[in-house]
Amino acid sequence: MTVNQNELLSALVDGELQGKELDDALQLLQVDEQARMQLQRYQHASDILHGHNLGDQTIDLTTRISTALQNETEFTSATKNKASAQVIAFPKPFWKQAASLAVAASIGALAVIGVMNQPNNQLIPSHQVAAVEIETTPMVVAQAGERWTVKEQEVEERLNSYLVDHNEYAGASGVFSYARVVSYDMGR
Amino acid sequence: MNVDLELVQRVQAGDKKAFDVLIMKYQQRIVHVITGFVHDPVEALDVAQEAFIKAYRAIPNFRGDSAFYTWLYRIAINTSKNHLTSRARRPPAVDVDAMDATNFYDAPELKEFETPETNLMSDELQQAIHQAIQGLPEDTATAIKLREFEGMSYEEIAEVMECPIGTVRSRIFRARDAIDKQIQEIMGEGE
Amino acid sequence: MKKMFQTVISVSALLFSLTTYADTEAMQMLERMGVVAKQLNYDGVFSYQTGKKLQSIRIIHRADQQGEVERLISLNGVAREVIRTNDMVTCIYPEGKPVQENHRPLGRGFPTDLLRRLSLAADHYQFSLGQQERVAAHHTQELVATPIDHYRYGYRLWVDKENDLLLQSNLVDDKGNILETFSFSSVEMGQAIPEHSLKPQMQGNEMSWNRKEHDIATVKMVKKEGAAWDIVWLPQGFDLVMQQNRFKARNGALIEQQVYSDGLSSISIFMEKIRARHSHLHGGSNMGAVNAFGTIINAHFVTVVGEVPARTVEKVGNSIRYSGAK
Repeated sequence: MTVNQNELLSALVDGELQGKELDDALQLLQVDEQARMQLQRYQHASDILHGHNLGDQTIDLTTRISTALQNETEFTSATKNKASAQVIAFPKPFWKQAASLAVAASIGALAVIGVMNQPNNQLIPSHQVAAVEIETTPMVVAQAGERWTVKEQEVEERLNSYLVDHNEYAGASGVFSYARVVSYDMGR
Repeated sequence: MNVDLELVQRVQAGDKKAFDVLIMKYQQRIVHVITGFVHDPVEALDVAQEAFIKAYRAIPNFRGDSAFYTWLYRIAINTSKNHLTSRARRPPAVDVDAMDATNFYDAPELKEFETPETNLMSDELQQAIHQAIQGLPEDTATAIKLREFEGMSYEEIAEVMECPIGTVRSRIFRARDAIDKQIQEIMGEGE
Repeated sequence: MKKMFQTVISVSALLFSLTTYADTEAMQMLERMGVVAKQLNYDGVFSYQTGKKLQSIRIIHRADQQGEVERLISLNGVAREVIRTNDMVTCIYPEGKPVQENHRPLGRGFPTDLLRRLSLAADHYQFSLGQQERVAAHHTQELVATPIDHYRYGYRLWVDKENDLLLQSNLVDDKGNILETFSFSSVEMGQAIPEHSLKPQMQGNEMSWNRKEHDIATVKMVKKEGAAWDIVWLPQGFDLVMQQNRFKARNGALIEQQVYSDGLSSISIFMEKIRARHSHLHGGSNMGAVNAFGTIINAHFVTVVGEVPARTVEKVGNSIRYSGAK
């Protein structure tokens, strides 16, 4: 296993591989036990940094799960098409954010779609939306609810802070004004 | 496209091996979540296995309207709860919202399930990693910090550090490699 | 036939005077409602609905010589609390982590000039009395405020006939859609509120109350340096009711907030000096019925926030000009 291969695995941990490189990495993992171990070690270190820690236990469930799944039917492209027909078109940056921060709470996702369904929306530049692989027409999902319809956590936090400041002056329903704050879905 | 989603779509298209990568990516976190419910580490591995199998069977229905991990996390929680119910044990009173998946590990309610030994080891490992990062050349350290602590993508890091994405990738790789060596030393498997 | 005609005339006259009376009565109720919200003790559970999501919230409000204390606790979903005292709001979100608290000083709020504001509102909304209904086992009178233009939402308010407390409120857009509903399911008024009811519960065994000094906003009110911003367009009747400058605790960025109100609805405009490379809202966003519009002007994040239609925050946002420190 070369250094170059390890770099590929490191990028896979970060979800930063696509196309041929991803194919290469998957191929490598299929044939090279060392590479599998290396990937899991990189992943383990990252997990520890995020507090997902099992002490000195390094675990590998892949073998036992593959064994258990041996007799399971593999999905066909028909199932794939059926499934991917339901894949919602997210703007690319959203997915990046979702992966890297593991944000991707479903409500947040709905909120993002709520934005996308608004015509003339300036929040997400159209070229970024276009960059997403859309296999079918995007689903229309429920209206945005109790989270800001933004994709970045930083922006969301800033808007939240403004919301609190604004609420002290919010209009007629003064009795209830902080309900918006207390209801705010903090899922992330 | 997001790598997880691409992997999921490969599984949906019949590539079982792609599911392996998803297991490798998330098993540690999932077992950790489950350990919060199921005290026994061996039992926790069984429950994790069951959760991954359930996830595999449900994957044709994965629609991508939440991140794969959030979806998997929800399956893991449900599997744990069902497991406890079937063992007639009371699940923890915490109402675990899948929305909190990211921060779940820090929930104080679940800390009680961790043993002093695992905590000690965790602290030691975390410390070792932080030390390893401190010992890195500045650019390498910055790159890994932006990645792991700020959650930035390579593209964003490249923009912040004003360097090509390829440089970011190799810096992060060097950092991961240094961290890995440090961990191997601690865990007595140093090469 | 003549007699019949006379009857028609007198009925019309009566209706006309009733309408005028309703307007005045509505305005008076609204005024009393505003005062009572600040001065009454109450403890109840209300629901807040926006979109498909329904949130149950308990509210405990106490007013005495020391001023107001209000505590809101979310009853479904993840535990969250907001505690509001005279000049401080503490938002407690567990987020699966030790409780984070977030203090921020408040401005004066509205009570002092509430009456003046409400009289302003009369020019921009048409007020009428609606049905009498029961809300949370109380007799209420519905008040309807219909906006004169499309730059603000309408309100339907159900006010307790006995105590004048607002028990239910709907925010309505120009197509008649209800955007947001607050509604008490049960409430007790006028009772003594013990101190312990106003203390946060998210501590002790359940959640650790982790008071981090550096998290507490060390906010200074900054001396006003003169308006550097021109808000070229505001909907008719929106006047400046508050302006404050403060430093953000986290990064020391200076934030200016200007609040404009037409008496019922309000719009805040935030100007935050950009301290480092950050992203910002570009265009519109909404959180339930609250709309926001963001842009960057002269190295400032400029954000318009209000419980007004998206077109309003956008039009206001697009009209803001930086005129330099005066």
